[in-house]
Amino acid sequence: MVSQGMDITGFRSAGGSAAANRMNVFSPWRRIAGLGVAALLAAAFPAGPLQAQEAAAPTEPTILSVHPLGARAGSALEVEVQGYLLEGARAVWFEQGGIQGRIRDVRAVPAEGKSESEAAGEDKPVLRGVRVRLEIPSDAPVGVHRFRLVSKLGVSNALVFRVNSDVVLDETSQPHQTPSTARQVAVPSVINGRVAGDGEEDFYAFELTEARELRFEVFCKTPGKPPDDVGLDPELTLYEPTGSWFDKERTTRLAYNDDPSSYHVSRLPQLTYRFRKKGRYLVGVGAFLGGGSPHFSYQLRIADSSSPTFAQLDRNGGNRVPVPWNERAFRRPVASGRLALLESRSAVSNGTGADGRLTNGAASSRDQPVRSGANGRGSRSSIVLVKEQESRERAGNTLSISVPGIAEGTIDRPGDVDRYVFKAERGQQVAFEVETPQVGPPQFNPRFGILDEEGRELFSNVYKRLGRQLTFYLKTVEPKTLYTFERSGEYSLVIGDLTRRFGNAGFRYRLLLRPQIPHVGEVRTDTDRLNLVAGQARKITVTTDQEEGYSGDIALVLDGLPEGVEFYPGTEVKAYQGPVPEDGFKTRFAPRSESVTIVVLAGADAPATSLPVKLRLLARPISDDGPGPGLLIKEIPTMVVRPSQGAEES
Amino acid sequence: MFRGVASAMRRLVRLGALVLGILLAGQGGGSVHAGGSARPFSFARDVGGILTKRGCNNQECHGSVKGRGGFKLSANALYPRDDHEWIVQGGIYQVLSPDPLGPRKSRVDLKQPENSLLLTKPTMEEPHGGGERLSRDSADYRTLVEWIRAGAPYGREEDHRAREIQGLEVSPRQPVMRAGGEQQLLVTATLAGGLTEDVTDQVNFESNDPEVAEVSDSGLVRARQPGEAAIVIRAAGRAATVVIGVIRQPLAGYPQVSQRNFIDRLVFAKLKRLHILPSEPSDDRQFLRRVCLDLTGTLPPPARVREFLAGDRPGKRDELIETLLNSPEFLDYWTFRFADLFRVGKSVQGFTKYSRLYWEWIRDGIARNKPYDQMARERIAAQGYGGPALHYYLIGGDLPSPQDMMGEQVRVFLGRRLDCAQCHNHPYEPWSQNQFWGMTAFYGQLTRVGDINTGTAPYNIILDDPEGHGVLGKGGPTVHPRNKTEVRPAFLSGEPAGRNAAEDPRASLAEWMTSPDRPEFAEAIVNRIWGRFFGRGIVDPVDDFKLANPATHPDLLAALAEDFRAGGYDLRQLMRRIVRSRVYQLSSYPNDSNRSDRTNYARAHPRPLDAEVLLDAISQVTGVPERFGTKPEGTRAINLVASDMYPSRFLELYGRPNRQMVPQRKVEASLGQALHLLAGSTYTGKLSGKGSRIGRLIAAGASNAEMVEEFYLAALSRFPTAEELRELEGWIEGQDSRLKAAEDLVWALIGSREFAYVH
Repeated sequence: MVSQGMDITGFRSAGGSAAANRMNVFSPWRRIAGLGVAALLAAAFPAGPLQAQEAAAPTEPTILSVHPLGARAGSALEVEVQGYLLEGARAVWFEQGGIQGRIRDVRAVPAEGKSESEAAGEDKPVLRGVRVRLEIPSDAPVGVHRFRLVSKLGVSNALVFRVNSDVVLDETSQPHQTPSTARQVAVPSVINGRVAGDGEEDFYAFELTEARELRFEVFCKTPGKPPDDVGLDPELTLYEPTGSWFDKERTTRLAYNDDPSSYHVSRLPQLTYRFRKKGRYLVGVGAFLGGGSPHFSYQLRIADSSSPTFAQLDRNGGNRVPVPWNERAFRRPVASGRLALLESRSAVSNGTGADGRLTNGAASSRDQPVRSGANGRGSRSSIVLVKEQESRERAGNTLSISVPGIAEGTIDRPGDVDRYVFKAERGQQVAFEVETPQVGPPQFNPRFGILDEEGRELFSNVYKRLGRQLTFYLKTVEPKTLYTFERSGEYSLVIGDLTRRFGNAGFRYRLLLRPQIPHVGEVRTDTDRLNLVAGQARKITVTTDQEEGYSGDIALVLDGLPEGVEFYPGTEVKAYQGPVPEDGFKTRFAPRSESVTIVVLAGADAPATSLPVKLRLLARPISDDGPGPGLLIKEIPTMVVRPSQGAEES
Repeated sequence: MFRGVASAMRRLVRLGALVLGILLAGQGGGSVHAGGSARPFSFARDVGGILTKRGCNNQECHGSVKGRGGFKLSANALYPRDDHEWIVQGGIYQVLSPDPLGPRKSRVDLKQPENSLLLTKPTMEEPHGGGERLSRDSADYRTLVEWIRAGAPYGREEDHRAREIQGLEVSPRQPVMRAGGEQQLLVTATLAGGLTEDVTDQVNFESNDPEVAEVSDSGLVRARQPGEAAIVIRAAGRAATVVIGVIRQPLAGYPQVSQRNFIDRLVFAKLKRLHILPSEPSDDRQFLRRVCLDLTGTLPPPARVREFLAGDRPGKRDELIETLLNSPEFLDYWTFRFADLFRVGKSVQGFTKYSRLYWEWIRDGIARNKPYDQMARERIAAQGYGGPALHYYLIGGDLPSPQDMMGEQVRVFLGRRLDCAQCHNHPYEPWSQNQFWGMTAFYGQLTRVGDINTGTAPYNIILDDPEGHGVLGKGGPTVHPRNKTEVRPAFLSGEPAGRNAAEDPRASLAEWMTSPDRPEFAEAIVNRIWGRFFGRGIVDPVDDFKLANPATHPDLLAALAEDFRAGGYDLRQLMRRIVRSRVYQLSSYPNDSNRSDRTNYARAHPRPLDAEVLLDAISQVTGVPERFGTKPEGTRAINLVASDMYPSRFLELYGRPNRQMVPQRKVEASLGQALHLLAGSTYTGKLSGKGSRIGRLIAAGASNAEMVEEFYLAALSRFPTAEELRELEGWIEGQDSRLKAAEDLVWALIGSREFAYVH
């Protein structure tokens, strides 16, 4: 089967036997008529209409929680994984390998007040608990390990299990939901727990023999999107059992975790607190607004404030989890190596990956040497790093930077504004990228403006447009801004905090000025797994961003298809969303985005798979000069299943 | 006696005034004749004064929002230029436009002055809804005729300024009268250059409580029954009040009353003036319950009641006050109180974390005893991402309108309600529409940055941006709704904001509002706190400072405010001052002289517990906690961050506000409360539930007497009297079920007024 109207320059045509054709390509930018594809699909899959990707009730194995949530490397333990459609669960599949899991049994988890048999007999998805024996090698990387369960219906969504370097205490059966029944723990400690019911707060008591600064951290699965939206939004509270005139059991709250950053940036609370005196203290772990659930497992870590955080331990633990490319995040590094990374995502690159090797720019090192590009844009090996100096600033000296160049500084006090000058030529297309290596939005919101020689602001990184509700302007501070200079001359760059009310040593910024490099930006898909019923099809929607005027094609590839599985381009009719409101200088701040659909078909005779295979979604920029490197977008665990045949093996 | 002295004084002042006299200027305003001597003509004084005295420009008549019968005058001739225009040029006033409705027709007839509408209406020669206001043989009528004949001039500005009333003095200042007595008021105006003028016959008098004291058009007060009444005196462009105290009969040999601080000195001085005796100091049981509820919203537990009542150390009350001020319960309670005032509610947009962050900011402020002026500045001028900044999301759907934000801050921190001036000049107060919008302009630049639906900025940041919020894409400066001109930020005093305001307007506003030079800020909060401890503000309602609602104790208000300022805006210190005073610690039992007094703090007046405190108290007495949604068991109602997230029939019935507007708690009893008392789950379900106090007492083998005593101590903070104990013991013994009897006992106690009130 050959898809019509596709440009497959340099690649084999889509269609044919999957076994013989594991790398299939099509170009979304050369549209095919929707009707034509619909007719094609109708003819090809008469018995298998396209299935919706998301449904209200789970239609695939779905796991909600694992308890306990982690363990020490080198240990063995039993955990329970709960979820839906787990009948006949037969395997635990860790994405990075290393940890071995063996399923012990599967049970129906009765709802409150109901027996197991009653739960199993109800005409709705039954919550099931799968007991799993885990063996964690002593050399297992510290950090989070993604795993899934495999049943006759396919592979489940992923959850994480945490491997620790420290001893991990498991939750005891002793009640510890009040200050007076708090569980005594040592410092440091890592504790597995669970906020199992509404209104529950778990209390842990510890003794300090001297004044000390400690850090408290909670790790857990946080709420996600439906259908697996079960997650804990934890609260962390410190208490001192002071008693009061009214109540000798009364505690006095010392600190509460939910600082502003934890809501929008991360829901995993951290709390560093300096205890001014020795004594007995309590730490409580609960859920925001008090909601509890058997799925609300967590790990609490109490440690000296100088010790590494969970995140630092994870980074150092050797568990390398691929990080997707992030074009616009204030935390992405914008050091000199970024130019090479961007070039590696363009159709015409300096050769990195042009031979077809797969790359993932996000995993590249921060400061690669910059080489001369092959695209005629000149050498970039001369990027100069300019560091802001307060003493010079106070003396009224303005620092000069070049394009490309990096300005690095700190808004170290309220009202602090740093100034730089640079030269630009008429018609020069410049990209301005801001990174906040330490404190970022919403605390530090770096706003920069570019001023001409008369001091007029030409533009800034505040993107203003009319919201869809048409009631007010939406404004956002953007990490990346594009601009084409209309006149040659010297320009000023002024950077500070958006509000000018805040500033401290953590308000660090790094601002990269560079030529614009047309490249493939973020490529996204929500598809997390594919369970293909033999004879039926599923679709994958992929959104691609074209950055900085990228005008080439982007070929999408599914590599590693199981036997009997093929894929085809598809189309999707999007619902009309009303007139587009005034979107301001959108091209200055946002990429051009397109969505395409890939239809994946398991042939009627496709053999079932016993374990998932990793289907790799690749994107490859293509121009008239030839193809760029293959960019690994995502690995999608994929299975072919035949539910009616039970748990068959292949 | 009073009347004779006042009349003599009045005659003396009149001598000076007579030298000036009243006559009108010639065309263009210039020469004036008065008993042979000239004085400059002023439209505001000479015409506006008549309109004010005759009540033509009061808020019920042409001084109302839209005027009356198409004729608009400014209240009290506050804006004489406008008045002159509407009289001479005529036309029908429109609230939202500076242009008149329809063709203009003058209300004066220069050729035939007597035919002027300005005269034919108030003399009822033509139908007039306001009735007869002027007789043709009056001096005022003649004055108006002469003015029209002279060409109806406005006069010269310098003459206006020279005669403008800059202040009013009323004599006597604090009159106290016996019921049935009379008192002539004398009103003296202060003019530019320090000149004074008797204006008694040029002003309008009005009593706010004619049942207590009525006043004639000439300023003669007749005392009718004991109490206090404010007489509002309106002159052209100015107003003043004098509070009349009416007593039944003077007390012979007023005793010396001991004092602990300036509060006692000032309150008792007024009581002495009014011949009212304060009640005796409260006994320990009254004091204990009152101070615990007022400082912590928590009932003292039985063991502490026993301990306190048994002690006889002289300083035990002060020690208890210190203990309570430093207790975690104090922190809980005053976080609740300020969460009420500052309106921590559920976010309309579902940003529940915003509510929490805001609440945490309040709690932190109370915990650290942050100076109140700092809290105010942080709330008014907040930028960025944090509790006080995010509060702007909690008091409106997205961001409230600039005028709503400004009005709320002024009400919260200055105790003034400017709302009326949004659409027109305030009808009762000297707040103009221009002033309102000048203040609003401080919020004109407030905007938010962030878009919760995007990946790059999924948060909201508050800041001031010259482009403003950009409603409907218009953005830009604040525009006056009536004349459609740009309004620059200007303080309520009319003073334009300085240059700093352009960059950080709300910071300028916050500095202005909290300036130590401005008494309103400190007065507003000390009045609020005072009202919380006495059930009535010195100005009441506590956020309605205005001319027509004067302070009952202006000296006390000023002294409290000054003490608060001098003490660094320390809320705990303010509360300490109050609860340590003898005035606060007076008994609620009345004596003959103070039985009918409601406003002079001669005794403690029982106050109903607020809904949340009452519910917590019921849980505390019964030992059965309330359950709020998914909150942990034992969570107190006062500790709910956004209380309105938790539906509660009980809390609604007892007046929990939703905090969508500045809370005003309803304290009236209702049928719903009565029904809930009879059958509501709060009163019936908690009596012997799991972990109840009844269950524990029965399990511990408590006798009937012990049970009665325990519940009296828990609920009422006192031992039962011998009679109560005897009767209740006997009653319990006579019941079939001891448990049921105990439940009935507890139900009766928690349903009593003695339980549900602070007293």
